[in-house]
Amino acid sequence: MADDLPRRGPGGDTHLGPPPAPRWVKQLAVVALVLGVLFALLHVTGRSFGRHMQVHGGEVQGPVPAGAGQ
Amino acid sequence: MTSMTPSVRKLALTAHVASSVGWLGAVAGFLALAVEGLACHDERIVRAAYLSMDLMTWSVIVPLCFASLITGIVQSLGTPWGLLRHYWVLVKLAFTALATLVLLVHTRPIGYVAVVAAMTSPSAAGLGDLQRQLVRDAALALVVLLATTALSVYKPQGLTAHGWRRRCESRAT
Repeated sequence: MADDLPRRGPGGDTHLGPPPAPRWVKQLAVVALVLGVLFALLHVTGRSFGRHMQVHGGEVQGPVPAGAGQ
Repeated sequence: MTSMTPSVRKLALTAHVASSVGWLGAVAGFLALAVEGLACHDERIVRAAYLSMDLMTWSVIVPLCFASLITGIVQSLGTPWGLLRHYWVLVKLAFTALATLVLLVHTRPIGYVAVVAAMTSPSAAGLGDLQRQLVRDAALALVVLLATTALSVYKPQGLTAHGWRRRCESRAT
């Protein structure tokens, strides 16, 4: 946990500010951002649930097989 | 709040691990059913898959999701780790909250596909895109839950600004 301790600067002064975010947090943030954008694009380009409901008005289309709903 | 006795802390930890790992396993099962529903040509199997997915969502995934979130918050507040002191806890909380939100948003399309599957073939009803979306979302949820599990095991170091201030205060006193 050496990162969390106050550090001495070149002039011997102690750096008392909070430590910066570790590298793994920044890397994870980049990966999460890329994945988030990718999935947002897939949702936008694919036919979304909302658009399906707009097209079909929420009604279930297609033949109802015998025995369904029993 | 760090006043949990060791026995209560172990009980809370057991509940958190059980609910979190159970959630991960349930999402893996959901993904398997979503893939089967998309790829299988046997209409009976496709129907069974989507009806099972709806049941699994409401009776297993949603309860485990909330149990994981609540026990995680209790666990962090009742131990020296804290909720906002360490980056790994904060990131885990953010991922879990995001996964919960996305899950709740997706309960509606899951239910819709299940209703369609109860009456006719989802692909015949033009739900191919929605079926693919369920596979993608379940895969993303699995990745996010694996990441949170890895964070819990590795506990990578790093104090937040809040955690750093709290540590300085406790050292000063």
